[in-house]
Amino acid sequence: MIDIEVFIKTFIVLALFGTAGVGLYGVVAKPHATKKIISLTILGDTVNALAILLGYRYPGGIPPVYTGQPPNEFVGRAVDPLPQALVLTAIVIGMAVNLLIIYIALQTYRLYGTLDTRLIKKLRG
Amino acid sequence: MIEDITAIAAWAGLALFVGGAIWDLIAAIGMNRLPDFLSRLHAATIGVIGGAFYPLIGISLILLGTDIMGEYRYIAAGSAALTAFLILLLAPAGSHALARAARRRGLYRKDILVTDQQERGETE
Amino acid sequence: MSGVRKVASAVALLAIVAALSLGAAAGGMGPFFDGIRSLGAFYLSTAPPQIAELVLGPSYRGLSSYSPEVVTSIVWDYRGLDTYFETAVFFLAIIGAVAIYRGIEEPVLRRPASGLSPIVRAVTKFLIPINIAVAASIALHGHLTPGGGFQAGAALAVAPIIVIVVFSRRYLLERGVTKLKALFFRSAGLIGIALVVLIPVIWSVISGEWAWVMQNQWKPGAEAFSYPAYLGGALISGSIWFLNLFEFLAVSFGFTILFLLISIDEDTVRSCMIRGGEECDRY
Repeated sequence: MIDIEVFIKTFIVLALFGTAGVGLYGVVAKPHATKKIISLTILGDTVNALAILLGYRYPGGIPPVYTGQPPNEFVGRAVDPLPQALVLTAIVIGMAVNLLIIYIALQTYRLYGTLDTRLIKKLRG
Repeated sequence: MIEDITAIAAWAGLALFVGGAIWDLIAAIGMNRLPDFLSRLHAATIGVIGGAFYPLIGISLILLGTDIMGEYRYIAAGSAALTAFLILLLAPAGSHALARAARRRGLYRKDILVTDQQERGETE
Repeated sequence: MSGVRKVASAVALLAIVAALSLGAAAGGMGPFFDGIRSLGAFYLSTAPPQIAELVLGPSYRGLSSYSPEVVTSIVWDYRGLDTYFETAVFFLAIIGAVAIYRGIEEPVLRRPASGLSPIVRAVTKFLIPINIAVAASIALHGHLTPGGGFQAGAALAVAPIIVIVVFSRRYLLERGVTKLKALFFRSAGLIGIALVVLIPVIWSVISGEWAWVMQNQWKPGAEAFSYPAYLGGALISGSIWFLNLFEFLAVSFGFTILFLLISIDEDTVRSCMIRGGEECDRY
């Protein structure tokens, strides 16, 4: 008999690490810079989701916004706010870094006419 | 009397929710099976209106008909209804822009096209 | 890629995933799904003023950030310096893009901007004010409800990119949203953040009392300085409201600069699509 709760938790963790693996594979193995950037985005978002999951409380987690409950209930049930605060900044920083990478890729394309790293390697800079 | 109305609202919302899942299934099948860009765009629009607009209205009705979130359910119901009507407004504009771009670049099959309304109107 | 290398990379990938999952399951990242870390419990029990004052006692008022939204109080009060330097990283990325752009001349525009069809333009004109209003409400309510300066800036940044796609880049420039003005407002936001962070220190130098950098309410050891928690009867959580406002300005206009940089003018694209040519190969 499978414990359904344990199964769901295992499934979530495995799925997250699997997605991170897909992102890692794309960054390392795909030759085209656009696909590298997409894979980098997948990797970053997966890590963010993992950090949010670390602060989650399974039975009855409530958001960390105080809305007038009894204080003990709030502290006893609210999810951990610290990973959420870190992920919040990480998302915006990730978006800015993505834009910088995309801009560099765009300039590379304007200069070389391709984003395939195998072809760029052969060109003279 | 008021209990009856809220119960009806909750059940209607649930029906819309289930209907949204069915619309989404139909849209997914259409995306895979239909032959060219414009007819696949039709399937995508079915997915947006049937699979996002109706379920959001359903969520709003369910929240109004039950008391699962305390007094915050009115905020959530209003947000869901507002989002639904924004989707109703924005999704056709998006698919219109896509269809127009596809027509300009000729990304459709002319042999199964029934009528081209833009051909008579503008020349650009 | 040859077959051996493909198999090797797949095996290495699976090994990495399995090792990470095993490490997580063995407790390598702390408890999953149950309990809360003591630091998180501390933030939860001190950030909302009601809990800090009524339950822990009036002497704990200094530990509170006077905000019912715990995540925002962590971002701008408890771990404020962290966020301050993350903002620095963010704007270094933007400055990097602007520095690469330096020296590239703007194309001369020949035709008026036309954009997409009238249907799309009408819907966009309806959408943009809603977008700006939602972004402003996310920023100005950031200390009460989920949200804050970062999220509001990212939400507002949707507006310029929609305008660029629907109306063309030139429409945005003609309406006065130029790179120079965006740089000005971004710098104003950044200077505002720096001022709010440094005002306790300036006050400390003037008055001779002790105050910390980035202090919001009074802290044990620096009791004399605190930002006003209420402004005209409304809870503004001291410095958090001001920091959200300035961060909103800085992030939204920073993204506007980047979108202006990475977009290509409609006129150029059209002439390239019609005529083609040597200089058009790079688009």
